[in-house]
Amino acid sequence: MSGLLPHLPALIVVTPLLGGVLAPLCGKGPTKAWALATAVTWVTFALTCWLAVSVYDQGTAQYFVGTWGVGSAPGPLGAKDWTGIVGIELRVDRLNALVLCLVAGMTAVITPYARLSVAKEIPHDRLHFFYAVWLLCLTGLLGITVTGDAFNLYVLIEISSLTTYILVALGKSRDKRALTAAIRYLFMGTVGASFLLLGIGYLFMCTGTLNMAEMATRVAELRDQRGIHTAFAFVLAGLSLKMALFPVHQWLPKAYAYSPTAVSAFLASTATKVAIYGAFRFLFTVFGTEFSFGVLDANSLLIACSCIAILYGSLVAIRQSDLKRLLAYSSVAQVGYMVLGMALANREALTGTLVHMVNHALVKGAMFLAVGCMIYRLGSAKVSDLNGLGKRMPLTTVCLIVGCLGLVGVPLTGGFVSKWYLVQGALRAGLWPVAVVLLVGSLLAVLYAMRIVEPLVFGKAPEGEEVREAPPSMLLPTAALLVGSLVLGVSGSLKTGLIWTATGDLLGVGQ
Amino acid sequence: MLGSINYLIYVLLMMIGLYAAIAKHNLIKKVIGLSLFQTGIFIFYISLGVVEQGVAPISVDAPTRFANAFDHLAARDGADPEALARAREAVEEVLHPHADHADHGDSHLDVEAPETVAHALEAAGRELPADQAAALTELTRRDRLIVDGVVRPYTNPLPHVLILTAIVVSVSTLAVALAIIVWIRREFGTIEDDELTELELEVNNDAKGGEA
Repeated sequence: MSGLLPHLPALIVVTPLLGGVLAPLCGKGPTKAWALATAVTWVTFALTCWLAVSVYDQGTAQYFVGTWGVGSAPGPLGAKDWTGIVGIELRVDRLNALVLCLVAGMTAVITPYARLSVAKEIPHDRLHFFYAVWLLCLTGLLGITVTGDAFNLYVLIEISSLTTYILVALGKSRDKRALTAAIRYLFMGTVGASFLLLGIGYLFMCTGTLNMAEMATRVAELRDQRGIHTAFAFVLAGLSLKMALFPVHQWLPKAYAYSPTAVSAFLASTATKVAIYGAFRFLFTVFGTEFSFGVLDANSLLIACSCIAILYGSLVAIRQSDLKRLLAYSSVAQVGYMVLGMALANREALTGTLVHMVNHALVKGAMFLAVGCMIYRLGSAKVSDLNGLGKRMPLTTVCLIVGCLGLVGVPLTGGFVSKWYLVQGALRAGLWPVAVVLLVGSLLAVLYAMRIVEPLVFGKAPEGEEVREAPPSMLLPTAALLVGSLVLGVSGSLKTGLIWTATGDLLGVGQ
Repeated sequence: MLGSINYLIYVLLMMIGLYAAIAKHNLIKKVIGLSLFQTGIFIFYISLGVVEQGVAPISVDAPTRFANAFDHLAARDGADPEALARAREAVEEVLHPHADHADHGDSHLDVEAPETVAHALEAAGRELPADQAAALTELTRRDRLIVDGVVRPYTNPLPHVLILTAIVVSVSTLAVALAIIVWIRREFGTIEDDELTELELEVNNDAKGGEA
């Protein structure tokens, strides 16, 4: 078994890719393709955990695709003509080990849930294709996280985006607006990815390499070149589109609201997180903290955008009547929190961002899953449907309430820990208005959380048909995610844990 | 000015494409705009790989490189044909060892290995004046090709390879976009963006009406 260890970075991408190819061969019907997908996601999750453990033990794992590697390995024109890295490098350090575990883990928990939920929302003759696309999307997301090559990152972003457009469009049998949401997401996503491609082109033009680690060393020498500045602008614009930062967030609410619910949970908990990881990689590793935040002063722009995102997202969320839209706008605000921590660029704030990434993935995933339980039994998920749900679906109700507490950031939930670190980071950066925005954002979150909790607890159930509790195969994953969020909130070992060391690596400071 | 015409064209194409993708109402026209936008980027990448006087990067094996280099040197003024002939033989000796050597395991000689090439250059250097030896070293480098008596560098193949991948990506995007547009036409009966927005609002109102 240990012979596999050096190949893990490649295996965690290849496993879901193979699963995605095999899934359509399973034939129609709700069970076979789903069973394959579940098996594949759990195997992938196990592999990422194994890899993460070895990365934390032994340091960064490198993998050279094909036989092309550093210096002495034969390149296309003979070793002597090339210095540096020629082929595609996969590189896993503490930061992406964490993100890999998050993405694979979330998918592994959501896939078992998907069987009933998706079978209800998607025509049965399409289910095997659905799981194929689902696994390919996972392939793309894991690939973005694992790769150390800038162009490879672009290709994998496009793989994950293309599959996401399809997943969103598949929501059409529940609501035909899923189609328009998908095409609008496609337009914006393609423009974003093209900007990224252009930025990578400029980086390649100036540095002559596509390997991100090599780029980083050369960018440090070329920081006055206009090409590098142009590259920075394009990369930042492209990634902002992908992570739905405030002025370019319009695709997100519609895409999350109309896609099948399992897809909403999957995207909310993985896709934006991976885009934010990409921003970390480019801003901190490739361009370097000094260049991004010193020479170019990108932080004032990012802080402004993310503060507006926090306030705007929360305010619009309060006004929504559809639960999925409400959660989607809340996601716009949460992306604001994460980018804010990144832009503050001190260790507390970065830790806050990473904890928030994990926590938001767990909580928002769980909230969408709980909403999926409602849709499974009631057929819709409006705020008005919540009335008296506490009596009809008590377990789902408990999940929704705990999720709301997590979104607000009540002590003992992970949300409290992350916001605590973010406020600390803001104060350490000397930006008290930002700390105020963080607190106001939390207050607004209380308001939209109340819109969910109040009818659940005090609302009167409408007269009429009996509604049963959602099946255990849907409730268990929901509860599992929430328990994860609570564990994150209660455990005090953060300072010595994975996240603290990962942020240390990013900023280049010791333990 | 003319040297950067590729870049002007790429910016122009991108802007036309982006304008169409934003301003046109018809979804198909938007998709066409998007394709133009991406094509602009392709031109940018292809222009990156261009090297002045460059030729297509076709790798030539070591014996051919040496043969070409000797032909080139012989055609130069002031070359000493006899010294060149001796050097040529010395290189032959290294790169094509005699049959009796081959029996002793030399048949696996890797003519491309850096040691072998260095050995060949050293052997030739013993027969040639210093400046000619230096010229020979320069001419036999793997990253250039002698075409019709002119030494020419290779163009950079990497951007072209990259852009082949990006073209495949853009074709897939186009396919997905068109498939979704077909569905939209089926469900909504139109592919005009402004009409779609109105229809979406109607769905919204229907839902609200159903609620009341």
